[in-house]
Amino acid sequence: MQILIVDDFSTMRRIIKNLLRDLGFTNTHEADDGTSALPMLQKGGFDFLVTDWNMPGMTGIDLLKAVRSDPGLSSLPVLMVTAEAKRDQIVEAAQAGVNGYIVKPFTAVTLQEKIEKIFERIDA
Amino acid sequence: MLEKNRKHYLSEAQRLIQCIEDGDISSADQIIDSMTKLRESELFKELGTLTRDLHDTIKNFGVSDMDIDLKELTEVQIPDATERINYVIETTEKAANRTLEAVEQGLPLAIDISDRANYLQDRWEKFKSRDLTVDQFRELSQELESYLLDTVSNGEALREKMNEALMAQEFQDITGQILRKVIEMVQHVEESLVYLVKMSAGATDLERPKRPVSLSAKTSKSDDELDGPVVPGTSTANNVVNGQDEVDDLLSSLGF
Repeated sequence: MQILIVDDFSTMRRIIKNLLRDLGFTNTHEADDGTSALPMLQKGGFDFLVTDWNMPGMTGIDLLKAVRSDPGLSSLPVLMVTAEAKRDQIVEAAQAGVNGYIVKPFTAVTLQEKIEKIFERIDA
Repeated sequence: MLEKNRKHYLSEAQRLIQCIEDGDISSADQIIDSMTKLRESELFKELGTLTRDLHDTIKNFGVSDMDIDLKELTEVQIPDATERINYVIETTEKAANRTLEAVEQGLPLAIDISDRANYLQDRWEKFKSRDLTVDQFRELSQELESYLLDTVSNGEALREKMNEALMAQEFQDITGQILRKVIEMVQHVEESLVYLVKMSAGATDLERPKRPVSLSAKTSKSDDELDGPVVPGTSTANNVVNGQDEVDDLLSSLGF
């Protein structure tokens, strides 16, 4: 399974990458905002997207909307991992079609639970 | 220098030279003191004028000014920035302690795994070169068994500690976002002060410093504006979820 991790902070990308490796997902790639992530996704081959919200250039919510409106990517599972914690924002992400939402600071267990839940639903 | 002061300085200077030539050192000292005082009082007057001008300029802006709202700056933004920086200090301290704790708890596990493996390897070599008695071998096989069992649980615990140290590093993302906002605020204050000083010096046609979007009042904030991490006790702590459980509740209420 190929996973794309999008966050403007490289420390956070490293943390998520290492956590995913610990969960058995070794094939991860990184991008620092939506603008660089979208072309990577459009090239194809990714099975899962983990993205931050607040990033320079293209934000995570705009990336999510772009993914959902792209016929080739519309069913790509998207997990948002962000410090944005306003209720309105969570509702907005849900309406835009996010598959999971994690607020920072988060735990390794939370990440595992959300990923498992997302794939359970897809497999169901 | 004012004409009146110029004359006063000149006469004092002439008296000073006279006193020095006459060798009247105590009078010369008195003259130098009085000239220094005169100079100081001029400085104070200058400073007073500058302060009054600045004050008038600020008053003329009014507190309702959209770009340089000094009231909001002093009542909301600076206390906000203080809260944010305090929160950064707390967060980094917590992260450092969390990392140190994980390392302190993990190290003895790693030491145990490696020390016992060293000992067992030594014994194993002896066994291979047939240096062990039957009783010694029986003892070794028990030690090997308990080592393997312990290493399964110690290895798992060590992995948890490593993940704990890893997770603790997420503070950098959070504090980085918070500090970026404080930097924006400080830059805005600096630009505003420079603007005020220029205004009070009588400059016209100055462009007002633009307030960064992130510092806009809530009402004028655009939909695109992001608050970043929630900092307790600041303007970001409104209508936000309190942890992952509340996110999950909210999402499940939306049918997730």
